[in-house]
Amino acid sequence: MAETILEAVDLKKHFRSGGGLGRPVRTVRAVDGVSLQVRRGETFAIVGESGCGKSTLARLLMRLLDPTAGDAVFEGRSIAALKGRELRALRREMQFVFQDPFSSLNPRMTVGKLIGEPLEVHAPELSAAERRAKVAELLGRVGLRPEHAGRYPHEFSGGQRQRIGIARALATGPRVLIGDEPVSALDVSVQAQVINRLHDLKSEFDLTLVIIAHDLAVIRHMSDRVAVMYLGQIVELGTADQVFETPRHPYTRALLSAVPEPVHGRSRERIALKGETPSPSNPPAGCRFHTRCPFARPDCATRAPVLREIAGGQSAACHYSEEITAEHGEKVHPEPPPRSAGAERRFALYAEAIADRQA
Amino acid sequence: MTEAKPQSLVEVSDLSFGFKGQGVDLVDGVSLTLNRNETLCIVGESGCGKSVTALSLMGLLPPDATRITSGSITFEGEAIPADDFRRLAKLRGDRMAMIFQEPMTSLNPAFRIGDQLTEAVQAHRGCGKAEARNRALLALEQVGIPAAQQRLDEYPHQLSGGMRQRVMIAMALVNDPAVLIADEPTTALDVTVQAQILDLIASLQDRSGMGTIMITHDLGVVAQVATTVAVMYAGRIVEIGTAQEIFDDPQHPYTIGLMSSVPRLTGPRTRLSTVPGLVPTPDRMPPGCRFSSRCPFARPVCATQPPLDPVAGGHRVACHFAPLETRLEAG
Repeated sequence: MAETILEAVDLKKHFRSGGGLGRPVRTVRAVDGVSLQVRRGETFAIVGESGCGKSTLARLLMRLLDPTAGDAVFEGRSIAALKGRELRALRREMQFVFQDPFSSLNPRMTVGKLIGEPLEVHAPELSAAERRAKVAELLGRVGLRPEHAGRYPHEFSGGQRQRIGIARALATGPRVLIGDEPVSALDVSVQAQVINRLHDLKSEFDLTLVIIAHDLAVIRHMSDRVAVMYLGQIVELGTADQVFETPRHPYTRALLSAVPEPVHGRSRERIALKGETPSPSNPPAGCRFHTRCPFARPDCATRAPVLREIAGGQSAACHYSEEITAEHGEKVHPEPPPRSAGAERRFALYAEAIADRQA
Repeated sequence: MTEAKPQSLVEVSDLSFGFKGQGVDLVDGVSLTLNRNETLCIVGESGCGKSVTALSLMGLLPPDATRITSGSITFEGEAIPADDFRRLAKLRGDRMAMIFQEPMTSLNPAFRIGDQLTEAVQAHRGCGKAEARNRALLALEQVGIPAAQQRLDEYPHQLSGGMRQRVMIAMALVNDPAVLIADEPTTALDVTVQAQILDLIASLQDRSGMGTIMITHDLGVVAQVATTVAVMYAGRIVEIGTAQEIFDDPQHPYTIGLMSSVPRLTGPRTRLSTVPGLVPTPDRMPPGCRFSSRCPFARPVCATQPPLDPVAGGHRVACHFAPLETRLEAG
């Protein structure tokens, strides 16, 4: 098994909110006791719905935020207390790709300047000519052309901008790339281009990827292992195959069953969740999911489950995981029926033609 | 009285328009039919013309900047030229209603929910405030908002994203429209909330028999709700058919490319076949088939525009090489 490169140890981040105009101060428990290990060379995904704490967790993992409690460990070293020169060195090793390629690039900087800026900070020994050469090389790696260096972000489409963001993140030669919804703002065909490109870059640059996303199909496609979050905690953790084929937490089951598949005539049993996610400033007692869980039993309201191993390498935080699986079956998404024979042939022709064109 | 066959609510024929100062038509020769109690999905990526097509039906295009080339809209039997913005505006919010993607920006943050709903009623019904408020309350209850009476006095920021979208739907439905146009109604929502909203629209449709035009880029949503699917690319319909025809037997290379680009929840996790390149900008539209600049099968003949011809029944496709597997392999 590959070694751990990045680790969260009982990480917590609580924000204070309110308190103005005589209102009470509330504590928002955005991340509330998360432990996980990311292995060198893998793509690790964190998935969950709005407000589950996944973006906060990503920022804690690379010290863009200071934890309230717990620790983040990079290559065996605690990063919670790093300062100054050491923190800058960490920034070189870990880079962030943001969701919105329209607001994350300074509109007044040329693409060459945007990608060269991290080099100025982290590799001041490079001459201007060396830096330009490096920028041109990075542009090529992400599928843009060297002459694009003289243009401004507004001259590019969303997908191209996201490539610029990726080139900028790669400039310092990081070992870990953390992407917060890196493809969710893109159109379907462009999203597929960026997903393929990230996959190639990962092996070319020997990267470890941490991907935060809400799109389950994208997560399944991109990642090796997956953590599912609900209200600041991990409720399920396992390989992508395990989590998507045989989910062990009722929340994962409900999430998967809510995703509409692009297949006609699929009538499957959807696990409808009642109501909305409770506020992270006042999470329910016991199991945090019990207020919406269709399988909840009386003691779920009082006993908080811990994340426990259910099958080799797959854990879930649910008292009744085994019973629920036994009663409702393992699979949420059965294999879809094949398309018409002609259509299958057309898809094969298309895939061949695209592969030829790219070769 | 029994209805023998579905009655068409909206018929769009040969709609073409552009914006002043641009040479080509942004929407070119679009014809669509929406029947009672059916959902017509218009699917495509940014810039394909799906949203402006919807805006034109609602009479929401800026009259000063729009150049209507051709087209008429038959609405519940009444023929309306596509450039009769005033007649379309009259129907808007009354017989035709629209919900948008972003419920936060389409509700006015400075007014209470109840005031915004009653305004919609009074604008078209000319009834008193008390009656309008009553209708507003009923509409909120209809879309499953708990404690509706209390919500009437709340502001949009006090509601979650899913609740705001329910309010938008309530506002759209408050005058019992015959047609609901929904532009990416669930794109900003989480999947579990998306499922609730799609169920809600379906059940409201069943109850009232209204027709829905849903605009989306999400093929999963399309497969779940559509009766008929129109695939648009660069302002033209490239393929149209029943949901079954489009998903089980897609014909156009763009439809196939789009479906190949979507990661799936089942099946092997192989490299995605994408659609290479980008949508052409209006000033660089290729002649003939507009998809030809990105199509892996493009040949010289594609410089002439392919007609939207039937392949089987009502399933039509605009490609010189449909069906691909026989035409291409024949040479």
